Amino acid sequence: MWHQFVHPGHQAVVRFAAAQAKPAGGAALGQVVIATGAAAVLTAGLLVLGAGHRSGRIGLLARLAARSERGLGGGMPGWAALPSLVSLISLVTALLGMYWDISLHISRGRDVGPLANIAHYPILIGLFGIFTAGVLAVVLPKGERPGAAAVRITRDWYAPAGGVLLAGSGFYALLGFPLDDVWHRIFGQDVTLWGPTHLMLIGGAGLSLVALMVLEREGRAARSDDSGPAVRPWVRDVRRAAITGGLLIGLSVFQAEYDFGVPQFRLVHQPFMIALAAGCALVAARLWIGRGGALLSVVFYMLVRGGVSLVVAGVIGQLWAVVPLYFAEALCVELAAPALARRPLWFGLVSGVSIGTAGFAAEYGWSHVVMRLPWTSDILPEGVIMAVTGGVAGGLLGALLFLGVQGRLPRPAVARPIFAVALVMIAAGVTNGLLITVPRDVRVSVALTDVGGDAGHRSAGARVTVSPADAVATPSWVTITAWQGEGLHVDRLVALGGGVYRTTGRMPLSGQWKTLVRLHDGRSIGAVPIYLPDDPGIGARRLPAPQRFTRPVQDERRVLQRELKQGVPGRLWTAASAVVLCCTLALVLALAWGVARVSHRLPVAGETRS
Amino acid sequence: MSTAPLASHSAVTAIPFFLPTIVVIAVIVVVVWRDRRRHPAEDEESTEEPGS
Repeated sequence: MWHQFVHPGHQAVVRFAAAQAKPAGGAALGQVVIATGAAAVLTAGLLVLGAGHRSGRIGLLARLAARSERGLGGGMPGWAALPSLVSLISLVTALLGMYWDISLHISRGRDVGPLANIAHYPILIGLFGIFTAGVLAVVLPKGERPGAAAVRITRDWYAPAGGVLLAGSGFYALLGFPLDDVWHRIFGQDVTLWGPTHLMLIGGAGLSLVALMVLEREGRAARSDDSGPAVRPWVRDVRRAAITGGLLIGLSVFQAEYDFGVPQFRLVHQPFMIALAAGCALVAARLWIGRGGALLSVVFYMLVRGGVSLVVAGVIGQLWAVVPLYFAEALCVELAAPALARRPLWFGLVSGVSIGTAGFAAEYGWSHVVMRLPWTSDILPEGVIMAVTGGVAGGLLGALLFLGVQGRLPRPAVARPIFAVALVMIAAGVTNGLLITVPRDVRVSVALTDVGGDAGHRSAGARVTVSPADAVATPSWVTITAWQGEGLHVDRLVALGGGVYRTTGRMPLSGQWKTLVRLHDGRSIGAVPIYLPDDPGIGARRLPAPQRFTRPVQDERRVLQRELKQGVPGRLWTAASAVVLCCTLALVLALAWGVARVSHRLPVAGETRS
Repeated sequence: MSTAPLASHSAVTAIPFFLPTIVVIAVIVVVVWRDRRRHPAEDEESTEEPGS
């Protein structure tokens, strides 16, 4: 039951590939049966292979582990090499599913059922793969203690801390699924990436890269003890570029709404998130890999994340998701390194400032080349302050991460306050970005022009008048956006002066499209619906688009997230968010514990180059 | 109503996605518990690492 979508624009061609007559309940039940079967097979496989390996009756895992010590896993024992490989493959799978899924939701809206959306499969497989990789790392070490940082399971069974954390990250991500259902049940479906439970799904995957860094450290330490076959330096560098490039991707997935051109939050969040991701991942990459490490890490980012965009848009035929110009931030880091790489925390700080200023300028220019919603002077100077905040927080975290996996973390009295300050800076930046106001007493008049198409494919241009005329001074965006009608249509309106704007093309006004004027200026974000379809699933009525009309600007969420239930008590939302926040803090603190543990228990690694 | 998008999924549909992790963790917990019962003397996590 899956729709073939052709391209953003109102002339989307829709084909229904399979029978449409299945009742929704029956479809959901069928999906539950499929999912249960797959889950049972996966669980049984994991348990049988794991138990068989530990009892010595099944040698498959041992053979796979031995084989993975070659190639990218070079210089690490199988218990670190195999899980690293499984994780990287799983993460790429989940990433592909995630961007595919977001694209489908933008162009189609809600799902018919949990597995009706084909893109949910790679997400599930990927997230379960991360958990599986962690379990493999826990199960594999047999007859040896995998380093001094290992965690005791039984009297003669120790698991690498990185493996435990990897399984924990996967667990946290998968925990997002049931919590997501509970969330939707209470609050209605939030058609945004930034629902708290959605953030768990992607955050768990993104942060698993930190666990991989810990596991890499433990694996390398184990091999330096018993001096196995020497690893070629370039193999180690490529592996580390894959891990830090993966971290860059993982920290960048929060930008996805911006990548597609339908952000539902303030534009200043985008430079903040870009700088945070770049600061953390690229500072760690430059320190961990050596000269050129930050650039190499961005090359990996571009290959994988750019590749996912190419596959989603080019091969699958969905929407295009742009990427930030991370090479500029990598250059900022590389340029600061010769003078400061020997003092990692100062290096992180200076790199963060440089990313937040020079990097911001580069991204500002880049946004005008590729982004559907290029940055405007409206985000100055706040965007720079946000970018510096994100860059410095990220740079400090990246430096701490590196120091941890090198066994050189400063004493807790120094490391803990720095870690806390970085987290507080992130919280402050996110909170500031979330302080949104709704324009009051602003009205928008729309006069349709150039109306065309039959009743089923109606489309039109428009002349849009905002009153009072000065309600939107220097906007971040004034667009007509249409989505969920088998495509995405984002039209940045041309200002004619005096609060009057015109379209540059025809917008869709029929079928399942949801078409609206979007206004964002400073802290205010508002919307005016132009056309909305009937939605019996949530009891919403059709809003037609007459030739001329005037409507008040309203809270954008009421339009973009019609599914949100109204009248849910605020404290319920606070309580539910607190639960998600606690789970997230638990994961972040667990990862910090792991980094500190390898730092304190494993010998100092003597392989830095600057 | 044939294929109207669901406004909310039934919570039961999420269980299979999550259950495998619970089962695997439960099995490991049982192994740990049995080990601790068999060797109560070495209960505390060893912190005296050689070479740390």
